[in-house]
Amino acid sequence: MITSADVVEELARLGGTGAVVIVGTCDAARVPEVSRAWGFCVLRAGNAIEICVYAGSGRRTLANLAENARAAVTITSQTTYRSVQVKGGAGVTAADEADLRRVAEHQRAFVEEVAAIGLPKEASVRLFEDERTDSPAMMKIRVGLDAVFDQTPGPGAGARL
Amino acid sequence: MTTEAAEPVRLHDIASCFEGVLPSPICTSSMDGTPNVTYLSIVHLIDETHVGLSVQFFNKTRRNVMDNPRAQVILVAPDTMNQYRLDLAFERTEASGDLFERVRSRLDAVASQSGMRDIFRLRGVDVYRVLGCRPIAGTVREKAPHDPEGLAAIADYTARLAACRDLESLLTTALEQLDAVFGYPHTFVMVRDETGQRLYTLTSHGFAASGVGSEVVVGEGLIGTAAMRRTPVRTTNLTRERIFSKAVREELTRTGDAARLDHEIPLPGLSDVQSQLVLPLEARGELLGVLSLQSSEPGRFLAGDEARMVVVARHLAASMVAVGFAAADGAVSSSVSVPPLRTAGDSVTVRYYPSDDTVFIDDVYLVKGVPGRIFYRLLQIYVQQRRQDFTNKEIRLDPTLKLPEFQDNLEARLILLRRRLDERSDVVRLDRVGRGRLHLSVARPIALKVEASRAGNPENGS
Repeated sequence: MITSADVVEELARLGGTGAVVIVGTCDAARVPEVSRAWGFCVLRAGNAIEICVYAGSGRRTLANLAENARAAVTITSQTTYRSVQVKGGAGVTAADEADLRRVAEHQRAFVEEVAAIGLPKEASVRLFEDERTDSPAMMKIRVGLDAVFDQTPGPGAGARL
Repeated sequence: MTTEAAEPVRLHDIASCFEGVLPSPICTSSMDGTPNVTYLSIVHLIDETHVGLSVQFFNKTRRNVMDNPRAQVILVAPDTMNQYRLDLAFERTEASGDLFERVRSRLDAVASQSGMRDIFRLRGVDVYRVLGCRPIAGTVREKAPHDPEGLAAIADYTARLAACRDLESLLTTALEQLDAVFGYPHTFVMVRDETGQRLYTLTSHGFAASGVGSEVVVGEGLIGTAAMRRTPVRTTNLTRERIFSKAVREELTRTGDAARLDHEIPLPGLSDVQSQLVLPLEARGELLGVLSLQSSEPGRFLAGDEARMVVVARHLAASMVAVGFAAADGAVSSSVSVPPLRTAGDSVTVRYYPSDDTVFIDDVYLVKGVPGRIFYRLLQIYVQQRRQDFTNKEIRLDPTLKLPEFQDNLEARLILLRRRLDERSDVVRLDRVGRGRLHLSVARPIALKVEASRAGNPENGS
């Protein structure tokens, strides 16, 4: 599916901030699993996004994708709550150096944005530090932009973009 | 070190996760195996094996769980930042009863504060069975022992209130000791006005400006909702609530649905307030007012704080009645010497608007309502008879003041009037000088003027 340029641009813009990113998957029995994800980016072709999850804390997410290769990813601005959900077919590969750099940049921006809305930096760091300490290895998930939804809070949340 | 394979976590051991300080991601799946991820503002703890999620809109999450009952949420403990995955199975929806009312009070209070009562209406509470609760990763940090001195602190606090003999010293002590004993530095008490429709601030502690005399409408906003429902209302992250409501406002404006929005209600107190706890002050089945605690720290007031403060608020309300609030004359028993003020200099004009009993001293708004009526009457007597000493009894019996025969709250009105004069005038002062006695001190010549009508809110120009 071709996604409109505006939507791709919006996703890229959110991906360049300290937005919160979560990824949802489910196994063959439709049992769901949610993980935090980092290093969100839009592929240059504009047809997919990529994120990274920690291999340890995200192991069920990764196992689910082996059973049922579909994922939902929601990216939300912490300062405006502008929120977009991407759904599509998903594939997993090991994260490379460039991915890990993007993860580090995202986490730095994330901590700064959380601080701007009142949570101390030493607290927000814990939202990824514990997972990294547990298992520093990361896996990259590519998700096709099969469908994109406006997830901004309110009665209109869920509208297809 | 605790990992996913570790012992299951007891929900009551992670109670701070259910305070709504940080949002919770939730994942569900449709019948065709397509996942959906979004956020919840709060997950409500019901018991050790059940949690509740509020239903305001029939969104994708809800449609999914109606078809496929499984869901998973991530919870974050704000005191330790430990994260947990909660595996859930939908059981039922409750649209009435205790749980529904508890969730509705909080939702309505926040929605009312942000002018969105019509948008965020609770349709039900979905009850989920908890299948498992696991820490996501890392070392699970222990939180500090919870309130080991709680009962001792309450005993200490109530002993200090018991030593107070009048309403003014009771309220002053009550707020000072909330700071000293419990570490709550920003507090205020609001009481009901004579109509029962509004609350006004009678006394405060820890604010740059006292806010005495500021008002809220019963039923509106966090404070007004707590008063109307007579239930505690607690918010843990007002910055997040504001960002959330701004996003919704913009979305409704963009879609041409802005007519559904009400005006936002300013919250008295701290300009950077993050956490707020409002407790009704009730005694003998009557609502006297509210006790409000504020903090600029997110997550400052958790369930334990609320439990302690419910006890404190009940004791404070009973103590208010004991010293005469809402009924008898609560006056000091010992005489107080008052330094005299000399009358000299240019005269000041006191303007009185009978339509709502508003009083200005020159161009400075002083007070309105019953306190304004009393103040103007005292000045009339002062100007006509040069009398400066008054008794509560004569005020109560003065037919021109039209005070109610029962529960006139005269003492509260006089406290408000005195504090407003302290803050807003260096010309007139009203002091208590003995049991039920008042002394009016006037520093400059006074001219009284009755005005026909007034436009606008006096507080805006003050």
